[in-house]
Amino acid sequence: MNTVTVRLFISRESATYNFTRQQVERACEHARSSVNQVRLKVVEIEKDPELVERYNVEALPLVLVGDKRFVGIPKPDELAAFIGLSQPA
Amino acid sequence: MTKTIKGIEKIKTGISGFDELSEGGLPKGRVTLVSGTAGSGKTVFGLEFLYRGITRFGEKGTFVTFEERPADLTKEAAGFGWNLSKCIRRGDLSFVDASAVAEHQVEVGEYDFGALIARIKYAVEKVGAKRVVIDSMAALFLRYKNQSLLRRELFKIFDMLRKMGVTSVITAERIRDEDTHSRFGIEDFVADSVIFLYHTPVGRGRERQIEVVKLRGASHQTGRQPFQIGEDGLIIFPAGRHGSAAKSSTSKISTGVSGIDAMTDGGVFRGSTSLLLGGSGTGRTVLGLQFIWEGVRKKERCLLISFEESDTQLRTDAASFDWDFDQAERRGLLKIAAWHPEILPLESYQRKIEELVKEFRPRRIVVDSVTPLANSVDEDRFRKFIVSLNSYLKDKAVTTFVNYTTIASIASSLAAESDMAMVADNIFVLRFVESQGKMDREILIAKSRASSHDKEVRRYIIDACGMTVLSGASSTCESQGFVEAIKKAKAGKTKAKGGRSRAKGRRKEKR
Repeated sequence: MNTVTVRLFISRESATYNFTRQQVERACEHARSSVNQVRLKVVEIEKDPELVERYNVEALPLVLVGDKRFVGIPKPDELAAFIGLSQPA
Repeated sequence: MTKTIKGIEKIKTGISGFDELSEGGLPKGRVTLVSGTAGSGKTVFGLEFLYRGITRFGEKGTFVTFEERPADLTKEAAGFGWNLSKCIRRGDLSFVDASAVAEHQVEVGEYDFGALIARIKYAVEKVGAKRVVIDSMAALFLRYKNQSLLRRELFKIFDMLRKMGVTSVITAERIRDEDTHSRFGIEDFVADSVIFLYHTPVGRGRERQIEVVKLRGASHQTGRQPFQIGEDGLIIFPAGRHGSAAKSSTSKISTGVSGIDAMTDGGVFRGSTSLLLGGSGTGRTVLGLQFIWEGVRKKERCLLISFEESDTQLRTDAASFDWDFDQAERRGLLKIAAWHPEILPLESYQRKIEELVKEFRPRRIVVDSVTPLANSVDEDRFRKFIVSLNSYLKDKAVTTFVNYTTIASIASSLAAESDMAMVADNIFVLRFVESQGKMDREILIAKSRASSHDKEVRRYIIDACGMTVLSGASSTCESQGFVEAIKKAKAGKTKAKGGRSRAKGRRKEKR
């Protein structure tokens, strides 16, 4: 089964934490119509600083799909379309 | 380790010469911007600041890199003998590696640098760092398009560093040496302290210079000072490194030429500086060698520094007078250093001389000659070098002969008014004179501080025994002219001084 992993790096302390998370979840939901499986991994930077270092994250929020990085809060439909395009062959 | 000046606490960097230049180091717990053109030594400054902190002052460090990978920085540091891998293993150093550029990154909305701040905080707390280096800030400006947002976020980073109480060095790039601001105006964020590094074209090469522009209201030396990137890090040459705490000696030592000893009422004072002026072939080098040999005979350690002749040539010259310099060296009484004058910046020769003096502890030094050094830099810089070197050697009570090549026609004015003449305790002028169809040599003692000295011009010869001053004053017309020229030059200077003070007096009276 083809799986696309979406990683959201976000701070628990961010004022837009809930909103950002909802937007990304919505995008993943939309994408599921065209992609067999979309896995969302939310990384709270306070909990996992090693992972933040490993992925060389500077700015937040950051959405990582493959090697594509979106800095800022993405629009769900645009992100969903991109996830769709990112489906492995 | 720390020094407080007018309420500003500073920490020593451990970088050679910087703590003198900044009069104590960098302001503790503050952010300092180190700005320079490409290749000016910013990264080395940052690396050394951390390494010296760890190894000399027990202060751990964090290096945030936006350009070079930690592995490359570790390799670069190893070139200076700084073992960063060991520092990491011991938990003294941590890296934040932000060097990789995310090529497929797009900005789709507002952001903050919460992740970067968290990474820096994590790295600092992991080792308990007291010093942080961020190299270089310009990288962030190239990665993010929304500059106003970026600026807001940079303020947060600097604020976080201050709140953490770490002493930080931020590097930034200037496009040209003459620029007063770094690229992207990083000075706007770091108002505390700013240091500029320069890599300026000088003659056919380039020279490194450093300037402390501001230091959070604390005192520091002003103006550009030369520095070099040496084998074990930066070497900065601040102005006036030595005070004038020179002790004057009351004992005299022989110059090795009995005739000159007689002319100077018993030789030169120990710890004094003598300037040997004269044209090529007049025998200044011989006089220097003879002075050294006299020291060797008295079992005094002697140092011979040459900027003109090779080591071999000097030994050969000495051997022609039966002065066995090889044996003197084997007995630990002599050290010869022959350096090419144009390879290193002028000030680095002072450092080399200081290192030799520290290591060898000579009682006598001959510098033969400083002319190539004087020709390689401007007058003011040479003056500073001479004053500083003279001051250092006097502090160490080393009796010094400095050789300077000059043509006879200007020897008199040099003897009377040059900066070298001002710092010299004794001035010996050597020259050729034509007499009855042959060339003879003459010597004049133009100055002998705190001593009554012979005012006559005297003939001397150089034969297999070295230099010998002949008894009886020289009486050629040229010789009389020579004495008169020096007297005139000295009188002219006194007159000028007198004129100035009389004018000052008149101005006072008017008021």
